[in-house]
Amino acid sequence: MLLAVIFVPIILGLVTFLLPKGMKRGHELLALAGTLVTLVLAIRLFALGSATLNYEWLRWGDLSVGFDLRLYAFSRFIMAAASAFAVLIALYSWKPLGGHARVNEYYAYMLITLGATNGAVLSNNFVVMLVFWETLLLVTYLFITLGKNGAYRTATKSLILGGVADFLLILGVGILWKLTGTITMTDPQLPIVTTGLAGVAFVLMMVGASAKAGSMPFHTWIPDAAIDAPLPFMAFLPAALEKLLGIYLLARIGMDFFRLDRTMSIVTMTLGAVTILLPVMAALVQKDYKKLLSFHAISQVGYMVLGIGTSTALGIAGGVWHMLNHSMYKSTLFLTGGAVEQQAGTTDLRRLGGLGKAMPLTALCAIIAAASISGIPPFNGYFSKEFIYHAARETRLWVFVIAAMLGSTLTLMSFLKLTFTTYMGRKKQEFAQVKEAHWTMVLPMLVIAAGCVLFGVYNQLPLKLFIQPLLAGNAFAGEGLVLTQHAWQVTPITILAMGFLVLALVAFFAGKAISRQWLTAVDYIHDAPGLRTLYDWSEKRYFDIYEQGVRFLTWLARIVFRGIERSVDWIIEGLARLFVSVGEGVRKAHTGLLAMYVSWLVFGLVILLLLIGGVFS
Amino acid sequence: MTNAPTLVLTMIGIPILGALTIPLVALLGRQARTIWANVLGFATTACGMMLIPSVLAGGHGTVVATSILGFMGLNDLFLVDGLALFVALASSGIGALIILYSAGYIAHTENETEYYTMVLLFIGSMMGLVFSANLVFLYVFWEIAAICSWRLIGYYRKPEFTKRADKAFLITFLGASLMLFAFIMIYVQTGTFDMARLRGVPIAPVAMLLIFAGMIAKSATFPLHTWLPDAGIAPSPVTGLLHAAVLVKIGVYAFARLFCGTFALPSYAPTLLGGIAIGSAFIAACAALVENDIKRILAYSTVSQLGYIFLGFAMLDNRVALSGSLFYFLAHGLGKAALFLCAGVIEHQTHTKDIRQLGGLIRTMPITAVVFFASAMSVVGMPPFAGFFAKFMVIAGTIQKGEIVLAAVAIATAFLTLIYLLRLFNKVFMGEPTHPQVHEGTPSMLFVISVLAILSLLGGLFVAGPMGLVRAAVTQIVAR
Repeated sequence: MLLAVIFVPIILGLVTFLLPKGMKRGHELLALAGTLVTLVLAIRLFALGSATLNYEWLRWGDLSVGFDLRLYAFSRFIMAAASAFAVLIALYSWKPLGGHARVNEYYAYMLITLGATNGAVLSNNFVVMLVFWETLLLVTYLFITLGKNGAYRTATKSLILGGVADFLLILGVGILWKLTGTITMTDPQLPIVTTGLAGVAFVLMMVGASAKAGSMPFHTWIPDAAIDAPLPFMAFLPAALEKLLGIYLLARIGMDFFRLDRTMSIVTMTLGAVTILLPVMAALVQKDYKKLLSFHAISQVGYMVLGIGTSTALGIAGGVWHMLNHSMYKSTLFLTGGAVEQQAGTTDLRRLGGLGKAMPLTALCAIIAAASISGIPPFNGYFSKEFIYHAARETRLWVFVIAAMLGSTLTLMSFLKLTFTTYMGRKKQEFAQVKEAHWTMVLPMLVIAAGCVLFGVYNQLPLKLFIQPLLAGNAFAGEGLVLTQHAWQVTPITILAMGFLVLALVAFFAGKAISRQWLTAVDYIHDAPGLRTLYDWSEKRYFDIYEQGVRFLTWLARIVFRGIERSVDWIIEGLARLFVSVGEGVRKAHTGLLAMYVSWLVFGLVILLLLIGGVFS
Repeated sequence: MTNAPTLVLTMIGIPILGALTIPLVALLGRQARTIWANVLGFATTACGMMLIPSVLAGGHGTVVATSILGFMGLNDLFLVDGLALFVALASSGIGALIILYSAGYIAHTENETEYYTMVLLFIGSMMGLVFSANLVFLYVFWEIAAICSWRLIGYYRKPEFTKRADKAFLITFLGASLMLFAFIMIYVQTGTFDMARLRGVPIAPVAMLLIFAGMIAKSATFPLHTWLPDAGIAPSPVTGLLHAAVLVKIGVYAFARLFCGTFALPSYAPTLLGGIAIGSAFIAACAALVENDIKRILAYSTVSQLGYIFLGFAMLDNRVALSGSLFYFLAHGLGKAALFLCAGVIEHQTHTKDIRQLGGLIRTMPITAVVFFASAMSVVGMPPFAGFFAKFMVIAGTIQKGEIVLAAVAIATAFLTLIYLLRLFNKVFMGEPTHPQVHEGTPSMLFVISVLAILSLLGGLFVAGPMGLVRAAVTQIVAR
């Protein structure tokens, strides 16, 4: 069954790929069936609890690689979540992808992605994991090329950034292997303390894993993909599956492979805090529904990285829980964005307005998810953020607590802007005909939004079912933490967090009062002196590591090429020319005239005599 | 290993002697000659296949022919072991596929008979070289390969082209004569040319560097690599053959044979030789990012990937790195052959090699595009293609040997590889179509490139298969 949950979707994906294009709804039905079967398998595995499978795959000298799979609390949870998302997104895609010229590829990539995700989390061996991990990267590339014309540029960007991150990950795995002599994840050699070379390995792997989740600095393809890629792609990969995977690996790095020392803990938390704040600043000024969401998809990863970086049980639990919550509310948000685009034909916030009455269910889902992402109780996002705040406080580094809370303030402000602009106010003339989306689109949104409420109000459920078990059995267990008690307490931290949310409300409505428009209510941040320049630079992509990196590399390549490579060639060719011209000179001396040869002879004789004379004198 | 000696001699004899029969068969007609060339090519590979069981069974390498004269310290003629067989199989298999592809490409050019003769002789010289049991034979086959390459690079015979062929010949010859000098030094020191007797003999640093110069001249490594991009004026099947199967693989093979399997090198050798190799890989990757000619980009990519193979072999006794390099020998051969043959299809149809004048070909040449992408990803080192495992092992082995800086440069080179190959793919196949009326290549061309791409994929998915032979080879190399 472990193999089935990986290979059934992959094989069905290949079948979908090969189905003739003319088949009406064949691809959709097959994809739906495939994801449902996978979900059933994942649930049965969930009930099973744990299992292992290992057979000799390869032996490379000293390195023996088994095809080594391990089902346990963490992997079963990720698989169940991923499969559930896949079912809902497959249903949702029915309408928006209807009539797409390459619909067979779309569903094929979806199923292969699901299978590879299951494979990556089941792997108990770094090499096997890397194989699935990078297969996902390739499929993501292909996925994005399905978008509108020119989407291949974004696809290339995603592949290059992902590739860079994955190569770092590989280097990290290689160093880890050198240090511990093992590539098996459950080897007793692990975890190791992050000092010296192990610290290098940790940073490399940490950056690689969090890049998959969409963390800075390898995140810049996500906003581009929001515009170019097929719509449900965003809800499926960057919002849900990639978060599940990236944070899964990051959490395992933080608890199973490495024992973080204080320095590395601070490095990781700093990455988290920066990832929270900068993208949310960018999100605040966006004028496009999907693009605004995509920046939040980056920003929220910061919370997870921050939580895991605290290296406390509470922080890791909060980070993983936030990952689950995030994939729920963020995919809901992307799905509402898709519904708006499908019905109103645009996601440009400058044109949208007053859709709440026409699309009440979509609006409801969007508001629930927006409240959740902003950390408003009693929705699920609040509780996982609360864990992270507390964990950050435990490290006694208040700056991280404040950064996290400030992130929530800015998040709330941008979502007030989004929801008010899109759904409130008077309905515009051009949207008079707009109706609620098709049920295949509304149903997945409602299901996930209901989940956001359920996991918030009854937060015992996810904590007991998913989060608590995966912490069991590692070194933190000794702390004797009962997570479920934590959730509803009122503490100074929770009060402070509420304060930051109130701040957001004040800032937003004050802005509205001044600018008289929902859309421009927070633009005063954009126009603030100093920030304005930064925003302009950001708009010109000065901060895009891809643009700048490629520019730098092209420049470096030119210098190396002209300065070193070509000049070596010039020297070699020059030597050849030198030989040729010496030869030419000697040839010219052979004129064929007797007088010339005689004079050479005499000349030589004179020199010879002089030499002999010199020797004998 | 009962029939192994016969098989080895047949494997060398078929292409070399067969090459000489081609002009005769050509008298019967063009068709007959082309078919005969294909038969010879595949028969060579088949001999190699039949050798697999005996090599897997027999522990160490076996000398299969000895000289009856036995003078000048030259007793053993040919030997067979895992390393020789693996390389021979990879080269002859890819070579045979390239001969099949040539039928569509080379038809309607002058001197077709000469082409097939030279190609087979080329493959034959490679076979002779890998099975050589002494340094003199190694050198002789080395130079036969040089002559074939000179003739084939200048195949189109324009003055400019023959000049480039001269350049290739002269640079590789320069390296080879330096190497020969070192061989003589070794003979003076030890009194023998037989590799079996030279096992574990420490060699002077000067001799090591001279031999290394010969290897990098042949295997196009910085600073003696500039002939390889210039050799792109050859017909595409020839460039495919040069890059993937025979010529440039000679140097890396010799490295594995002499430096890993025979001589004892000074302790600083891994850092020094590995450093030169990966530096070359980095410089070539930079050049590939700047060039605008498909074949020059691919040529620099070969220079760059050869750096990886050298790097892995330079780890000398690290089995993981050795396995990776040896497997990359095959994986790079498959990927690069497919890339050049795709470039051949493109050049054949659009009559240009300049990527600035190409675009959107995925619409008119979907099969070529898919093959190109898959092969490029294998060369970059993306799973599930064969290249991933090879590169991963090279890098992991380098780290294990303690050369973390070299491994980091290797990773940086891998970024560049990803970037320049994607740039090439995007410029040629994506964007606005520039040649809307062109169509795919001939069926035999498409068949060959598809087979190569599928082999790249299968080599990754079922990597345990080829690794069986690689493991046998590596065990024999390090067991000294």
